[in-house]
Amino acid sequence: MYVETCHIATVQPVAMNRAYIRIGDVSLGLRADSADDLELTREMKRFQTTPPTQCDIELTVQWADRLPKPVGRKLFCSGSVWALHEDHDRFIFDFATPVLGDQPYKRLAVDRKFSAARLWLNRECLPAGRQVYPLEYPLDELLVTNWLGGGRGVEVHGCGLVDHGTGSYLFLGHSGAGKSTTAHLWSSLREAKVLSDDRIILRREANEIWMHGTPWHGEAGFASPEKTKVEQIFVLEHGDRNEVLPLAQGRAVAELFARCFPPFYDRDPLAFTLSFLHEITNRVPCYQFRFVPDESAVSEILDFHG
Amino acid sequence: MADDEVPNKKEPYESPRVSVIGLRPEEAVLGTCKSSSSSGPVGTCTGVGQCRIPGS
Repeated sequence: MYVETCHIATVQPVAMNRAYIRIGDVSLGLRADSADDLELTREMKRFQTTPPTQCDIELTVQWADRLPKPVGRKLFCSGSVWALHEDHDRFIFDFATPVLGDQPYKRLAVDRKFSAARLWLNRECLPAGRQVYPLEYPLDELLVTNWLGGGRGVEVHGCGLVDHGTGSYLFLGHSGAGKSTTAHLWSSLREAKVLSDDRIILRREANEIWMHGTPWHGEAGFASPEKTKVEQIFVLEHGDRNEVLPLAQGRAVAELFARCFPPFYDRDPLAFTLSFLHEITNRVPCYQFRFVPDESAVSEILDFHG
Repeated sequence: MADDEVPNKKEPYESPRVSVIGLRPEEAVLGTCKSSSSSGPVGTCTGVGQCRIPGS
């Protein structure tokens, strides 16, 4: 059956093949005609799950012979591989790079709740015989973070870990702030489980803030599908000595916002993100942690009792 | 205790202070490469320092 969707003439897939993943308690169901179109990266395979009763996000993968330019209003340009347009009641994410030609190499159309999505892979850009990962970064992360923005949670740039002797810690930081170094230190010096050394999802669970590991790891390569309650948050900063400093709540919200991934192009999810970050700072003590990247940084945190 | 006996606990005035929070738009927008094993459009990642994707 041929359908005209998003101005693309494509073959409607029978979509008998299914795959399921769960990231940050967000279930994502994929369907495609061919199992080859559901290939997952090594990191993502750790997040595969059994079929849930109902997926939070349903994604259908199919091929298009070509992808013409989108006609809707352009909402956002990422400055990297993707741009966002609106098309009536949907968002259209186009992924393009000069490496693969002028056209988008794939296009994601998704409803405004980010619960139903369709992905077109462009035959003109993606050579036959080459393995394609439909969820390939950053599409996977865009789907999950946007779904979270609908009043459900937020993803932050951070290293989350559980020390089996003392509790759980979330270390926030920009690139180069020391997240992967922190993950290495704690995993080598302590009996600690690192959920991620780069991306952590925060969600409310029974009036507590919980952090979830993600597949989007940093240089240290830690990516775990586990979760735990957040007990303390530290904003990382390199220093001449180890020092834990208090953060006023307003400052803490701003520091968290500077290290999260908000949907800049959508007012309501952006407002929710700010409100949720404020709630996090109400529920979890936040500090600035100036540190030197050696064993003493771990001792400083272990000796710190708020 | 009478009202006029309540000690004045008003805190001294403190001038507002401006704090500068470092925003990094290039990091807040998803899109730059994460690692050589999982990033780059459809396996075109060329390695650290050689990436041709803007923002990487």
